[in-house]
Amino acid sequence: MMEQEQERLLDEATAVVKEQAFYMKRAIDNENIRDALKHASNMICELRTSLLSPKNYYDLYMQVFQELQHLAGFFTERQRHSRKMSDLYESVQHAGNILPRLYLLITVGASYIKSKEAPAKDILKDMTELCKGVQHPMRGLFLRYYLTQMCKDKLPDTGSEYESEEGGSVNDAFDFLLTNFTEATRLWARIQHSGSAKERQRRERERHDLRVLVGANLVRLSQLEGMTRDFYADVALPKILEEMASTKDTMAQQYLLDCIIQVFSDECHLRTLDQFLSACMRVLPSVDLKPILVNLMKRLANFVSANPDAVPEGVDIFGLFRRHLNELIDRPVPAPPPATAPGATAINGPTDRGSQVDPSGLLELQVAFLTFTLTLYPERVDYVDLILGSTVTLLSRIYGSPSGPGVATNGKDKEASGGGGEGGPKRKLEGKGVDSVVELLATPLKSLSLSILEMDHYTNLMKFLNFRTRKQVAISMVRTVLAAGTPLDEPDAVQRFFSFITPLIRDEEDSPLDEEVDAEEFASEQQQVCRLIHAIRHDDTDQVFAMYTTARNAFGKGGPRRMVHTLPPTVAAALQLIPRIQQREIDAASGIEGVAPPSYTLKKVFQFVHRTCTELVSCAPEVALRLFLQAAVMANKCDAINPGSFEPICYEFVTQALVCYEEELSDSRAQFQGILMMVGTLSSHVTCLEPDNYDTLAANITQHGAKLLKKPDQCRAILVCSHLFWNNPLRRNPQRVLECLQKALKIADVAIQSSPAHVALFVEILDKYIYYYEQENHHITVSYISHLMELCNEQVTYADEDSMTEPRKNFNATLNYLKKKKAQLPPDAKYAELDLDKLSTSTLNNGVGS
Amino acid sequence: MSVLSQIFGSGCSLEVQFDHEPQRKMAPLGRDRKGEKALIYSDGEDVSGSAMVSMKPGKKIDHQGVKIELIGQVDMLYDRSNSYDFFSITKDLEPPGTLVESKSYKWKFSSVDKQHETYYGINVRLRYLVRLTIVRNYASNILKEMDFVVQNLQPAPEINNSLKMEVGIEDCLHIEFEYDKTKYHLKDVVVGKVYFMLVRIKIKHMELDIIRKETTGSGNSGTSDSETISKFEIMDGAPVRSECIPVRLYLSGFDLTPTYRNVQNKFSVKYFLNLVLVDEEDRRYFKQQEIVLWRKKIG
Amino acid sequence: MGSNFTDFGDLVLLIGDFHIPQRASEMPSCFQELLYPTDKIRHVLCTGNVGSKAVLEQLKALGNLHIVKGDMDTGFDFPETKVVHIGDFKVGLIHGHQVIPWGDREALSYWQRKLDCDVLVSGHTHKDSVAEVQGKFFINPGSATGAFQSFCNEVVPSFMLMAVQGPNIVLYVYQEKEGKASVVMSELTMKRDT
Repeated sequence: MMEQEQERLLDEATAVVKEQAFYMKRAIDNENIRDALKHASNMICELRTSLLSPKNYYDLYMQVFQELQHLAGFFTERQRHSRKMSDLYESVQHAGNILPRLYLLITVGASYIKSKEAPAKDILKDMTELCKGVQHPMRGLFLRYYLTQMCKDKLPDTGSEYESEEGGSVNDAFDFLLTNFTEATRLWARIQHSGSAKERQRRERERHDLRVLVGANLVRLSQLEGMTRDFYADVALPKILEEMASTKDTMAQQYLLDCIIQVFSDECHLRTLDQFLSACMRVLPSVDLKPILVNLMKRLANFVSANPDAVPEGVDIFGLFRRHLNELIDRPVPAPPPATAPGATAINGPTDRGSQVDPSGLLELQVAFLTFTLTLYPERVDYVDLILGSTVTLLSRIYGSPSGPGVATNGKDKEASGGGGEGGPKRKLEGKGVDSVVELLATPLKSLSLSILEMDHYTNLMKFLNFRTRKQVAISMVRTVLAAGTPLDEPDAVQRFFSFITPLIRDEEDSPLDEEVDAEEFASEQQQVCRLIHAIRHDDTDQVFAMYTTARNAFGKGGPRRMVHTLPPTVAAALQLIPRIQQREIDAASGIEGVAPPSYTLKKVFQFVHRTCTELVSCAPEVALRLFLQAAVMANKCDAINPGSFEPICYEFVTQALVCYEEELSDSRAQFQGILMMVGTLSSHVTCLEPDNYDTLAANITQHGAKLLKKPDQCRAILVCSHLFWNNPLRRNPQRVLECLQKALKIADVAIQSSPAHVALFVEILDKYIYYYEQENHHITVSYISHLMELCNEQVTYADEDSMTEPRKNFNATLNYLKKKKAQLPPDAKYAELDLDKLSTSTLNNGVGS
Repeated sequence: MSVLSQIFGSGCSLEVQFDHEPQRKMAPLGRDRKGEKALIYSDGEDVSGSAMVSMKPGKKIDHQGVKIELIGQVDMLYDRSNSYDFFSITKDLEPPGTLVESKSYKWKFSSVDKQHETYYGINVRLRYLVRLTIVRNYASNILKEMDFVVQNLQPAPEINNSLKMEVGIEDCLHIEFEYDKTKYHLKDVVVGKVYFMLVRIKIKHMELDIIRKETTGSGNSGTSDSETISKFEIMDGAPVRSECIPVRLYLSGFDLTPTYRNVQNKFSVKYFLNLVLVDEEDRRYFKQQEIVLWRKKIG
Repeated sequence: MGSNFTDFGDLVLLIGDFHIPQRASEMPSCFQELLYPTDKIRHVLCTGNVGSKAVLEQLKALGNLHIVKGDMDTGFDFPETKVVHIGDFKVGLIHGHQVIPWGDREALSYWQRKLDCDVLVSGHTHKDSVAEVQGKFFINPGSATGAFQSFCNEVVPSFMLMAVQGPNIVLYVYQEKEGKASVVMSELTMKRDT
């Protein structure tokens, strides 16, 4: 309905404008100035309406504007109307209605200036003054707009044809634009008070649409040739700001601040940063400074990056922004969006509805400031820390202090996580602010990487986040360090870094309970943490080991569910360090210049490994067992270079592996694997043990093998254990090997009673016999093999269930292997006595047939 | 007159002409400024011309004399009886006798005193005329009248203060207005400003009107008529506190006369500037201030 | 190198002993660059010891994954051994800690017979090797990360690509040397029993 009505009104007005414009132009053609003015006036009268919406009024205005250009053109051609411009200028002022009078005045006035029959500045001033007669906000605004439009190319600007002693200077041009700007601003601000309160919202929307009419003045101001940086700083900006401040209108202040940033050059902004920011601090509390300052920072960042020399001497961009932003932060209440009653609810504690205080705007501002700072000062860690500090101050006032006394200070914190979760803020940040804080933490990490460790406020800021978010930040810190390939090369840095990622390292007050944790996600996080161990690098083994110790201590607080992940890499890393330390000990002992003996000796490292593995025994026995064995091998290596020194250590590690086996491994599969690992280690990689020690261990392991729960496992374990007595060159005992094999046979024989499928054991035993026979264990003779083959053949031939397929295949493979040995040229003499023919026919056929 | 003379068959026609230099200015006669134009003379100037009596062939007229008069007259327009010649000079052109043929005369009134200006008002008229009369005994006189206009230049006033005044309605509207002078010549421009000290009403617009107040008679029997000569909008929309609205009103466009004070004890003409504020409910708030108009230029 | 791949049939990746993150942080970046933009790998044969689920997922993304259980794969449910048919070849897969003595040629030979395969792929020693014994091939791709192995002195990161065509195997052995991947190609031809 409204729309239609508006459309009709506009159509009607348009019709009149067209008609009158037609007559006006005809009069112009006839050089009849009187009629031309009369029809022009009639046409302009349509602009006296109060009924049109701003948008439609603008439409109408544009039509009138276009038509009036014909009249202006006519006035400019003196020879056509042969009137003195001064007369013409007076004569249009007789019109009784003010609006047509002033539109005509401006139209003539513009031509008057162009004629140069009078000083431009006088005419400009006169028109500006007379326009005051229109106080109706919208009509006045458009009239002023008309004035600016008509005169924008007729100003006595520096270098313009209108500039002269009489015509005026840039000062007059500036005064003209400023005054019109001022008046336009006032009219614009006044729109909000016109009409009923009911329609306020619509009116404010419409007002917003009209803002360009105000901004046009500033745009033209900024384009003045005479608008030097000095002029801007000393004259223009102070006046514009004064006007802005005096409007006492949120929308106007908001728009004007933004406008200033948009239309004036960045050089100007740099020059007047303090002025501008100070003005920002004085605006109404309801003005949203965020977009304004963000814009300013973006522009300055781009500009200064491209023109680093453009910053005037003595201008401390960071300091200025920081000072003023802190002023915002220090205000009693971070302004809630609409101007509700100030005061109250601010810091009264978490119990009331204090959550109304929303710091998100300020936080976003801090984010922008940080980004800006990092662009301009990519190296200034201290700057970033200051920003984080301000943020902590801001949040502390709402959520409580991030820590009790003894906040970690640079490099002096007693304990990586000292005070951590316990002394945190009373409440955690929620809502939009969370993202900002995360960004505040992530942004410096990306560009400064481990330099964040030098910051005092980083961890404090983290404490405002809930556990989950803190953990995410921690994860991204870990990822960033890993992705950057940055080495952790300083014990203090490691200490601090672990304190930064506390949510990953240990349980905190608000950590979720075990059952709430997604096991896979948890494992994946811990595995990321583990990778940090490999980022520890230094040329000095003492430094490296000190860092491992630091990490180990931090991990030690993580509880078993973390330790199963974090301790094994620590052990592996310490073990890897051993050859370097040993080399250093040797070099130092042999007096190589510049090599000092290590403070952390091999023994200390082995102690460290021992302690750490022992910690793992109860929570990850299988892993602990393997790590003990790895340590034993390393000790053995050390002993090889320094014979006798590390035998006890080596023995101790194997013993601990065995103890771990005995006390913690109950699953038979794990037990079997444990025996495999122990035998694998001892049989070929441990050579330093005293004979007694070795024998004790070998005997123990073999006994354990014989005690496995299932017969087949027992059998296979014993076969494996046979290697303990053969492959270790120092302790080769052919007799014990044979005993093992025979014991295995006995066990297999019992096993096969319960299930013929266990015939596979016989084939495996056969293979072991062949192995040792070929290894020339003289206690193993070809007749053993021959008998065993017959036994196997019998079993696999006559038992023809499906379960026989595998053993039969295995047997055939062995048979083929031996046949090849016999067939090769020259034939293997060892097998000369072996008669394979009687076995081959049936079984091979069977094998092929299946 | 010629119509009358035909009815009565007076047998002659009269004509009066002014001698004048070609550049002498003229002014229209009558209120609406659309009447015929007449020559303008000023105080102390000679007025001269010629008079002609044209006889129809074969006619003759007996008369008691032919005379020419210069008369200053104040007429009350709604009371024909109340016409008063405040000034009259007579000159005889012909002694009594008989006119048988057409004849023309030269006449001249030297340094005539014309201190009042010609004025056409609502209720009153002040006119100057030259009257040619053939005086007769038994029949009515034969006459011919010819108006001329008197305008007198005035010296610029020695004292001409600005006019400044604060007016208002308590707690509602307080304004201060200022006009640069109290005395304006007829082609002058009124320059001033209106300063709003307090605005609590919703003003729609403001205008500055020129009002002419014509007073006739004196004392209790006097009547007074006001007419608005012009309406001139000086502000559109509602100002806010401390707004200052400029005033610039060119007087040249209007039909104004100088201020006349107590002309021959018959009438006065005064002018006022009337500042009018109209609010959104079309209530009018106004303040009148007299201004004195004076003539700086003939025409 | 990439163009050579296409001349052969399906490529098989032989890889294992990552120990991420227990003993190494990640594969050398030169390896990652080689492996991750390619879609030419059909099968992945992994000797185990992936270390973490993340590595497993990466391998799955590369191709059809066959994996066996390493000594450190305690949390995973992988088989001890596996046999895969690739072209004319039967390829057996075992981690190798079960082969006692570790890395012993004859012990491996036993497992080759037991799995009845033409090619036996094993790891655990963290040292890449290729050998032919009596017409059977023994391949150890080493450790993809160069992970620490106590009984090994210097571990060089390595993996292998295998292209099978008829009775021929072309094997590309990749080693990381000073941050760069070097490759050595060898051809193996199977002699069929008659």
